[in-house]
Amino acid sequence: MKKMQKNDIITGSIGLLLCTLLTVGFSLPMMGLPALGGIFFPGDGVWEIPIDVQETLTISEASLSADVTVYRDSYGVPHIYGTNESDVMFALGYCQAQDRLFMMEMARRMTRGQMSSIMGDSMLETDRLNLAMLKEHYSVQTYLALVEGAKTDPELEDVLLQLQRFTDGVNFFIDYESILPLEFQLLGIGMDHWSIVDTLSMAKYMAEDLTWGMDDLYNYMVYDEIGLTAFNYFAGHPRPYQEPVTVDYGNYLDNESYIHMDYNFTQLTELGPQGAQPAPSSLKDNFAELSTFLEEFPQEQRRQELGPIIGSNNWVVDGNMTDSGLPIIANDMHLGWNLPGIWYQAHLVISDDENSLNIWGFFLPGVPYPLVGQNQYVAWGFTNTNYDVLDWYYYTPINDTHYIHDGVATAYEYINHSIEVMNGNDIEYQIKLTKEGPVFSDFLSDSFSDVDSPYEGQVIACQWLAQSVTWELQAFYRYAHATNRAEFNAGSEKFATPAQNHAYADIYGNIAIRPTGKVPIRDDTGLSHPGLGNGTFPYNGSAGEGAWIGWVPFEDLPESINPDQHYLTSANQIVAGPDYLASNSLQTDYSQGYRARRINTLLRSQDHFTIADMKSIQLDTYSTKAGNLTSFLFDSLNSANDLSTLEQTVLEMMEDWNFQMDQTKGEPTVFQLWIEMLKGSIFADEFAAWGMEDYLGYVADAHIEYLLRTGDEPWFDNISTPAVENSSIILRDTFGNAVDELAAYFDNTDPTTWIWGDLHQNYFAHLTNIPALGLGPYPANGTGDTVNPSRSRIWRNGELQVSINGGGASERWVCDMGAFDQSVSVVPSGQRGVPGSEHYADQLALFLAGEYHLNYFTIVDPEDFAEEIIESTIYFIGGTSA
Amino acid sequence: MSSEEKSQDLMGKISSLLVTPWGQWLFPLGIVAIVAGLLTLIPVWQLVILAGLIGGILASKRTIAFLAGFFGTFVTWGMYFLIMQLKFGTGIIPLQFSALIFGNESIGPFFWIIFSLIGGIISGSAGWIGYILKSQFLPQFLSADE
Repeated sequence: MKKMQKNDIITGSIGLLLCTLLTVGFSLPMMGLPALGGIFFPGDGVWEIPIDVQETLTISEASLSADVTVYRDSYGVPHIYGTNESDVMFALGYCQAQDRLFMMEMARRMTRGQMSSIMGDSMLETDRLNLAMLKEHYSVQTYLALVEGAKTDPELEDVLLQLQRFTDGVNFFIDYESILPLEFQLLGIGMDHWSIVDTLSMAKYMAEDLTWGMDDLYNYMVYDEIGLTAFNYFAGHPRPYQEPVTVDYGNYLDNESYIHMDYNFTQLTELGPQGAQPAPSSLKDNFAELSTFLEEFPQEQRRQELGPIIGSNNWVVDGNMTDSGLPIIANDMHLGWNLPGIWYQAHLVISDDENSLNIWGFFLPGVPYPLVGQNQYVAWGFTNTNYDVLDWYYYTPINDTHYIHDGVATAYEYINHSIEVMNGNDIEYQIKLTKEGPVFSDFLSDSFSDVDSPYEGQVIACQWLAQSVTWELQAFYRYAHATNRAEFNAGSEKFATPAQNHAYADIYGNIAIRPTGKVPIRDDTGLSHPGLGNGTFPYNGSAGEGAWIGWVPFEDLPESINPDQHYLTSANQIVAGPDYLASNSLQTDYSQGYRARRINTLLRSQDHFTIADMKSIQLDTYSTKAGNLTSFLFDSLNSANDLSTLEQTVLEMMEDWNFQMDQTKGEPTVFQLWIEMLKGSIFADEFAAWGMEDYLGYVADAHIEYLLRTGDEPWFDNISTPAVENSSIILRDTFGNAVDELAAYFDNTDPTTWIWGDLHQNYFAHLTNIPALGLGPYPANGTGDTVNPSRSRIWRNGELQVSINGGGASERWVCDMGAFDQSVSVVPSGQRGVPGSEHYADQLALFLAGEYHLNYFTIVDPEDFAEEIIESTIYFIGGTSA
Repeated sequence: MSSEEKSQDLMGKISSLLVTPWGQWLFPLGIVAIVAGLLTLIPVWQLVILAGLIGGILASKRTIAFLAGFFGTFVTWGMYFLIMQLKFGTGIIPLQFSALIFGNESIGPFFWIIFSLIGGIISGSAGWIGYILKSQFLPQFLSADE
């Protein structure tokens, strides 16, 4: 070997150092970023990620019994044509995986408590929470029940077959596609095979989104401070101005003297907490500790932030009110927005000689049947009913293994899980169960809690409908195959949770609505006060309170079919009127009713509707609240003699307002700030006296409307001042304060420049919350109470702030049963969840512009699919080897 | 001229080309580009070191060893990024990654240059190593250098 020269030593050392540093540096994760070399450098990086699908793809697959053709239209929506259902399901699974794989991965991992397996031990506590909800346990139990049922029930056998073929399609894509989407690359994770249990868990995912909550705990904390009479005054039933979903059980509008409004103001406000105190005084602290702990989880924070916007609209008019002589149905479900959006649009055409089927709808990614949509016979839309299907219980503990249940020492039962942790050892996790359900107070007493102040309170557990075997997938299967009302109802019988108002229309001219879902019947006997029952407050499980002893029979749920008024509407309001046998027992919460009132007003306003009219209603941003409340404000201001020049200018502007919450106008800004401040002006003094300043949210704006309409003056007096104020003074003063705030915020005195869209905007976040992948914020019309909803809260903690809204209509759909070819839809995102894809957010542009796209439902022969609307094609060749 | 003579003539021309100043550059550079290009088919980007090492072994000078490795990989990776962006439309990804790291997309369009440069430096450094290894273990192939 040659003796190494000095230059060689220097050069070699520099080369070795540079080469090593750069190679190692780009091969290891650093500063919270994945290994950049693996992502960006040639060979195994992101450059070959299929951002958009291939124009033409041919796939041979032996398990397909016949060929299947998939046309994606100009919005990337797949139209899948096959000759039997199981082949079409395979293709649908493939398409959903092709477009939404990361979303499906996140949804199943989160729901099933498996996040640690892909993100490490930082997600351990989240997994424990999700496992404790028993979503995973009962997804598996539902699968086992399905398999068992399929042995004897031909329908369940077919459901199982279709779920399996859909699963096969998803997994075929996972095996076929060598490069996973960007999110997988950034997280440095792969994708395990999909399973039927993953699909079944999506029902639990939706149940959590729409029915999980800690309302009972919050209710108790408020009740404990202000007493039962005051609690019922603010949160009792029915709420003011409700127009029920079903129309056959009377109407509350006929009578403004609500039972719970019969109160004595002086007694209520001066005596403080009253009524029964059935529980230990420390119970409120226990509930506060648990709710505070759970509020720290992002999924709970998101639920609470979006809670006020979650709801939906659907309505249906019969053939007497349409051109085609057949019904038109419209639906827009209001949920949290994400990119990609929650819904996957798809069209399935099965040309079977014996059982042809044409299905179009909104699918949950990971689910093979639409939740909302139509076939060639029936169409259906959903809104949330807010049926109360979750109760909290507290128990006296005995020791680690026993507690008191119904007066008897009872042993806990247990469910064991092994949590897989990425880059770590599996963690064994044991969930403790009472007779009612999983114990959550254990979160406060184990190693995750504050060891300096261990939890020593009551055992707290919950019972939730989703913690049982439920048959939503069978319901979706039946909806998709229904040919008439009776068959659709057979599907509804299987639909447990999350309970929905099912608006219905068919080609025979029928319209109907039924608030559908399982509702528990509680044993409220023995409670110290009847007002403590009905699942409103936590039950004393040690005293045997509140056991679920049955279910409201399906046939007893309220329902309206072909009403004389020729239309039906639901917008999360109360489901039934006072004549319904259990009008106050189904729901403990529902919307304020402004959207329902507006939709009903519009449907009553003319006797003939087209699809264009229905679109117009879905996009409506008229504020019923403003229309009803501003007259009281104007009366107050016009009787005042001390208005400033600016206040007079604003008043004149407001008096010409059409009550549209238009993002380009100043009037909505003034009204919104005024109404938000007004609640505090009226009630903050009383709530402060109760020590409940943070609970003003318990007062609905409809309650303010009630006070003004009925002249209920005592609440308007500020009890912290010696003077006696009345409503006129409060309305006027609040107006003055709002005007001053806006002038200061916008730094001018021209109210026409106080543009609503400057303070109220919509934002569409990516699932991962990575800002670069989100879109917006965009100036927005409307408020949370307009038919086209966009929540706004601009007055927070005594400060005027821009309100960024993250939820609203998650889809819009209008279907004319007599003109299917004109049916339209739109989602506030796009079909394809791959960032950068042409279809990542192409429909969002339509959505923001108030536009829709055609569904092409009537193209049942692929030969009829026009070239100009075919963006890409997949030919699945059946009966051959891959 | 017989085919054998033609072949000998061609080899002679190539040999004479390789000893020209341009040939001394182009030969290792071309080999590095070809090897780096083939290695993009293998999902282990670190193998680009191999391309640089080969270039260094074939280089007649230390300077050429680095520059052949550097430019061979820089050009190949640059073309790879360009082709992939055109073929798959993945140009959006560096923009999004830029926004993720820097808060805006402005750096994104330059990512392909930055990554090509990094590939070039790794490969060029490997070229140096290759040249030194050759000079130590294969002295008979050394040209009259330095």
